[in-house]
Amino acid sequence: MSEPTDSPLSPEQESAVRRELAAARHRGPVPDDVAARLDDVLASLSRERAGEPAAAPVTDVATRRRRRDATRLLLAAAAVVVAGVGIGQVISGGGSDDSSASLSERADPDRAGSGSGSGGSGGSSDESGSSTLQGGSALAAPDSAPALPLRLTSAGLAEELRAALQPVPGADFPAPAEAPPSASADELLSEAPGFTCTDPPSTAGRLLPAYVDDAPAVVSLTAGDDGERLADVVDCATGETLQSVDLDAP
Amino acid sequence: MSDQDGQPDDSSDDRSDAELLRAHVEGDPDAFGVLFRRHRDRLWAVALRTTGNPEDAADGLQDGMVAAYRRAGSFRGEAAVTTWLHRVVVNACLDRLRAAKVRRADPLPDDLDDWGDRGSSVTATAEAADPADLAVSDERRRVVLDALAQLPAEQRAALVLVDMEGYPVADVAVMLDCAVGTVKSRCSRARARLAPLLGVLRPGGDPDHLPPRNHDAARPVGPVDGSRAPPGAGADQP
Repeated sequence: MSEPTDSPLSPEQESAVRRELAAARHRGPVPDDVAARLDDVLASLSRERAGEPAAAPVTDVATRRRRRDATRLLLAAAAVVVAGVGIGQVISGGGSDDSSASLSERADPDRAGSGSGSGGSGGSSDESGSSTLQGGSALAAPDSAPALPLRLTSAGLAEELRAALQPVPGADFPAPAEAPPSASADELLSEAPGFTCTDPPSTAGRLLPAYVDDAPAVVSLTAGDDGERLADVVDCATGETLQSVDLDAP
Repeated sequence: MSDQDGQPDDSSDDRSDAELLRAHVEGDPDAFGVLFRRHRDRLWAVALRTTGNPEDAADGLQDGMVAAYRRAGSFRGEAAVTTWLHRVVVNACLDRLRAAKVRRADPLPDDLDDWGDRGSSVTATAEAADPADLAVSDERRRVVLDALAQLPAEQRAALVLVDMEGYPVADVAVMLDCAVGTVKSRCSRARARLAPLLGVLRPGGDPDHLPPRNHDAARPVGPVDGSRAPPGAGADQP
């Protein structure tokens, strides 16, 4: 599309546009149904924080109209339960037969869930754990690739990262000077359909899409000076580095 | 601690935003709710205008709220709490828009029935999606919102925050996690795109008389000497 309208405006014209925009500002309060929904979610978050079972999973309220997102929620909720031991077990059991599947098939939570083989309706820790972690990624070797996006929790971030990335060889951790340019939002999307990170951090390293407590994040893989495998977790919403982990540290 | 509508009554809590956020991080179960309810009307306005429809706005606002709740510990106090809240919510809204864009390109969506009546800022007009605007039946607002929906999401977000909500460019730069100059550039480009849609480029163009919906084609404007920066902004406009 040609963009002749990108030409500069006169001060008067610009003021006129700005007046129109200001006049179109929304001045009403949050609609009652949205306010009630937000309060429900806050209540769930508080219960979750207090260690009480939530009446309804938090993100289910946000995504109840979308089956795909609802499935993602089940996976994420269950991932909390299976973090740690379950993750390592499932990864070590991942077979190379998955290598023929497309990346999107392997990364799509719906497909992963349905392919877990448990035959359940979803939501059990066993099913979700396996569906979250089986499969591969664009990393070097099919056997070494965790399913993307990674599902992590802030409570066990370092342990979960080590478990999820344990089989990934050092070749997938580029030295900062040799690292490819940071992935764009679209590239992250191509690795994990449905994953959104509006403004991926400009970090040297290989970026993997991830969710931390259901919030979008990226994991940047780099090699340290001594070849150690380093992973930085950066929150997409705030750009904050949530944790830096030396995966090879004892 | 609820009023007659069942909504919590936060009016008696006179803690500052920063105090509330700190209390939340330290375990106060009610502090975040007080903080978010204090600002959610304005956050809603930003989400609504950024996404262009109430469904995506509600989702984006909720996504942002959940992210802020869980990421409160990462707030470093380098900006105002409200600025940080806006940043998280706007990012969540932009993420929603990006996801919607990808879903539209999906050849075989698995949720076609749900998608049919779901809004999208790019395809849905604000008049069809915003009940509040329907009730007001404001022709000018309708034209402005339609024009706004034609902007790229990042330009729209900048314009909503600067020109609609009136935030300082420096604060918006923090909210959008970009340089001040980038905010100015996005706003300038966005205004230039909107100008023909709002009829201000026509000879003797009077914004008080907006053009019909089959607006004039965009026409270039010659260079001018005047600053294009927002009021109060610096002179580093590219």
